This record gives sequence, structure tokens and C-alpha cells, in this order.
Amino acid sequence: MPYWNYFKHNQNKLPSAFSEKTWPDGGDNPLFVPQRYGPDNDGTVYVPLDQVNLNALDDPEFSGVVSGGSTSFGGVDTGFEHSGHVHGGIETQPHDMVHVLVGGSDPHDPQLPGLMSEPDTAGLDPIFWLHHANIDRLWEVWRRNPPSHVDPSDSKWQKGPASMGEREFAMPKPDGKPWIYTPADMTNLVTLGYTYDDLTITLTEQRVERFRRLGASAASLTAMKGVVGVLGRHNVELVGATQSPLRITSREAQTSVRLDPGVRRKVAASLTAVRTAASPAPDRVFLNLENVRGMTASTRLRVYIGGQEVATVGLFGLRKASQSDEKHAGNGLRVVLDITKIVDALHLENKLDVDALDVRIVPLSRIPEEVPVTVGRVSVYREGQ
Amino acid sequence: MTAAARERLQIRVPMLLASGAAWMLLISESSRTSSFSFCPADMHGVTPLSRFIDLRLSRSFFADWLLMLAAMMLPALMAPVRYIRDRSFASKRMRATVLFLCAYTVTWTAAGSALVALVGLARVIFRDSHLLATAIMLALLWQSSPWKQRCLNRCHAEPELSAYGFAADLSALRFGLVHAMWCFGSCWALMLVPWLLLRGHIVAMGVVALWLFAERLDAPAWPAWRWRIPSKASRIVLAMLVMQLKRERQGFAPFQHQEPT
Repeated sequence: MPYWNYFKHNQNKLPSAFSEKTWPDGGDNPLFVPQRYGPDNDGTVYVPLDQVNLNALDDPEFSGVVSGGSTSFGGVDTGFEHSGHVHGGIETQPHDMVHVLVGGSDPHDPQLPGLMSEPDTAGLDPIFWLHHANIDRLWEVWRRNPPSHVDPSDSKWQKGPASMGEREFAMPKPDGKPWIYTPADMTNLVTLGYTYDDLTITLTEQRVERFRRLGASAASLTAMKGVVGVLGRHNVELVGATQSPLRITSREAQTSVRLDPGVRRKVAASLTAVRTAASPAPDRVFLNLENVRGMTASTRLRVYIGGQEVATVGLFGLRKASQSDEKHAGNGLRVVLDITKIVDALHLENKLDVDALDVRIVPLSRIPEEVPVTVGRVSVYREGQ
Repeated sequence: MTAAARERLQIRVPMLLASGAAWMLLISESSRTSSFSFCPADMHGVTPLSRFIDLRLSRSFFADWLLMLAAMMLPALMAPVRYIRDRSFASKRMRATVLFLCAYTVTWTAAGSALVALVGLARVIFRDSHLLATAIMLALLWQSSPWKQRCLNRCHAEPELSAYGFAADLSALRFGLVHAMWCFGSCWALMLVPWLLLRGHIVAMGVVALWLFAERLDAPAWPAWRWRIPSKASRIVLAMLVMQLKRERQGFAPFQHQEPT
């Protein structure tokens, strides 16, 4: 199956088959679309490698929670309800970010998005299919790291949204008839009859490394090998939050997330316990950007805690999510970012005993003064026992 | 079961149990009396205005009213209650939930009492049969209107909530108040019909409660004039029926793979 692996050396530029306006014989190239503006909104389309990552591949579970903890690799199960939509790891990065990087926005009007920048029009750009083939490839890469990296066995997930009153998955066949399929049908490439030429496992960090860094004993490290990925603990609670909304325009914005001393101590205790516990279970910690609203297309942000970069975020679907009569009811987007590594480092440097965490958000795309992006609340959640 | 489903159950179980208990009490009361004190149709014959006002403000009115609200509305409140719980510190979840529910109840009760009073006054002037017919027409009209859709959309709002101190209490109260206003706006017309029935209140209330719960399952949509039925709930029921039929015909083989061509 063809795909666009923007992570591969020298492949982060849009493939020429899509970027050339004409065929070699002079005819129009149907794979070229003019409404593909790129990260600098000048029609040059590439993926800046410092704005994408593969951190999701290291997420131990497929299915996450809506309560502020990990959204995991694949996202959350929302049941019959449609509230609490939050993107999973692979959807946040690289899926969403590549959408807004490729689509960009009209150089003359930042509110006019490129096709790939909006969920409703993205499929009209032929590069959409190669981007999604890459996401499908990354799903297979993630699956090749058992025992924890397995798809949900839950029957509702396997039967797909049609069993929950939503639209069924359908793909037009060459004869125009639909091919109806479920997630369960998509879990085995051999059965599906296609594969990818590169399914190399790329892990950003083995979880065992985290335990070693936190000072786990050699005995517990040996004991946890093979089972460390099977977490299954989702006690999620708020650690701290900002007290007023944040307004982001072309300049960076700063805020302070006030931490509750009791819950912060709980996090620190779980990290300290790694040194002595037989089966340590240190908390994971997540930064939530809640009620993110705005009307600017292809918005990208870089988030820092103190001087440390947390992540870059592409706000794919921001405009629609900000409208009260659309599917998200105007609640905006919620972005969940794993800050465990930063919190671990603060703990090891004895700097976690603080009243607040300073959060800095730097825009990577144009946000006009008159159409700001707002973040209703920035919060920190712990997930542990 | 997924982690998210386990989180949902923590809210669903107590709220559905509370709603079920309220229904049981309502049913047991309905077996004793012909209707409830909050129903404008409970006074047979012409009622002097003074007696009407006395009855509306009686203790039994508020007791019945709270029972009705708990029975009919708690299932529809699962999503906002889960939201407020998730956004609060663990030590303040119960407090925030109680404040939200109090503000919701007070607002709904204030708006509902005004509506009951209006209908009661109308009943002094008009005949019962005319009132019921008017209420049915009004419910159909409101159900099809863009205003109903706007109210439904706002029922899905998840506002920013403060986490600390008095501001946290205030935002829980504000959330409850605002949610109740949109909820009342969404429900009032349909609620009128069982209130005005001379018989079969409890059955009609059950049907209306199911409808109100089902229509909350639909995602927000653009406000427009259209005939509005709970489409997602209908599709869920249909999908379940189809799966059951398939199971009966083919044995248990839920995932039949279709090769792409």
C-alpha cells in the first residue's frame, strides 16, 4: 500500500506526484490542489520535523479515558453519549498536526482554510489518502509490540459505530457499491490482503527505562519485564488548574497552573515509591488544555512547562468545535498532553515541591489579534492507583 | 469493559438507581391518587383561584414535583454530572455535584411552577379538552421549531469550571442554573401533555421521559424547522434488532468479513 512517511529521512516534503501542477506531458495533474497552502501558507508543502512526533507508539493501551488522564493510542470510548470527545494519541500526533501543516490557510485570509485543514473538506485532497495510509501503517507498527499493544476486545469497539447508532464505515468500491466494514475487519493486514514495506517498530521510550530512571531496584525491574505495559489502572484526579482563561494571539501566552498541595504530594509519593516498592506503579501526569476555541484555520501551538517543551499541537477541527450549533456544541477542543517525563525530571531534581507550574504557549501559525484562540482552563491530572 | 465505560458506570449506576427509586414512589403514589399535585388537571371541575394557588404552593406539590424531576430528569443529567465530577478536585466532587443539582432543581422548579400556574389559570378560563388539544399542538409545534434545537444544543454545553474555593462553588451553581434553563426550554412543551391528562399520567410521563432522554443522545444540529425524532436512539434500537435477527438466522457469527474488490 502506498503511504507518505514524512518521518523518513528526506521525505518530509510533499511527494512531487502531488506537488507538480502538470503531468510530464503537459496535462493537468489531478493530484495537485491549489488549496494546499503548507505550514508557511505559501503553497510550499512540507512537514517540519520538529512539529511532529511518534510518542503515541509508546502508549501502552489502545483505549483511554475522557476524565483528563491518558487518551491512549487510539482514543476514548464515548458510549452512547457524544460528549467528552477528545483525540487519542495517534490522532493528536501526527494525524491532526499533519492535517493542519499540509492544509495551512489562505495567505490573504487566515480564516480561509486549506482543504486538509478542515475535517469536512480534508478527503477532497488526494494527499489525505496517503496520510491516512501512513496512520494505518503506524497502527500496525503499534500493534507489533505486544503484549500490551493490542486492539480492544470490547465487542462494541469491534462492531464499530453502527452498533451504537452512528454511521457505519463504508468505502466505495470501483463499481460504485459500498464496502461496509467494521473495526474488527481492519485489525489483520493478512486477511485484508495488503501490507506496508516498512513496519519497523519505533519506540520513543521503553517504559522500563522510566522505572530505571526513577530508581527502581534491579529485582523489580526484572520482575516487571513483560508485564510492565499492562497497566489497567485509571484512577484519574485533578492536580491543579488555572483560575482564568488564556488568550492566544500572535504573541506567546503565559499562565500559571496552581497545584493542590495534597494531590501534588500524592504524585510525588508514587514516584518516590518506585525505589522501594516490589511492584511500583508511579503516576502518569497529563496537561489538559480545556475548551480551546477559535476561528482561525490551521492553528498550531507549541506548549512549554517552565523552559521544557511539552509538545506541539495542531488544532484540527477547531473552528467547527467552537460553534455552538455544531457537533461539539461550542465546547471547543480538549487537548491532553502527557507530561509524565517532565514531572519525573522535576521530581528527580527535587523541584516538584512547588505551588504552581508555569505554562507557556507559543503560536506556530498566524492568529490575528481580532480572532484570538482562547483556552478556557489549563489543568493537570494524575492517573494512577 | 473499557476504562471509559467503567468511568461512565460510576455515574450511571447511582443516577439510574435514584431515578428508578423516584419512579417507584411515583407509581405507588399514582395507585393511591388519580393524579399528582403538580398536574393542573388534578382538580376536577371548576376550581376557585384561591384554592388553586393554595394547592400549588402546598408541601405535597413540591414533594411530587421533586419526585417527578428526579424520575424524569436524572437520566438526562448523567453527562453534565460526569463532566462536573471530572473537572473538580476529588475531595470536592460531591460538593460540586450537589451544588449543580441544587441550582438545577431550583431553576427548573421556579420555571416549572410558573408554567403550572399559567396552565392552572388557563384552566380556570378554558375547558379541559380544549387545553389538552392546545398543549398537544403546542408540543408538536415546539418539537419542530429551531428554538427547540437551540435549547437541545445548549444542553450539551460543557463550560469552563473553576477548581478553587468560592469560585468553584459559584461555577457549579452557574452551570446548574444555565443547564436547567436550556433543559426546561427543551422539555416544557412535551411535559405539558402528561400534566394535562385526566388519566394515565404515569404512563405518559414515562413515555415523555424516555423521549427526552433519547433526544439528548443526538448530537447538536443546526437549528431549523423540521420534524424532530430521537434518531440516534432509533438507530441503536434498529441496530440491536438487526443483530439479534442475524444471530438467530446464522448462529453467533458477529463479524463476517467481506473481501474488498
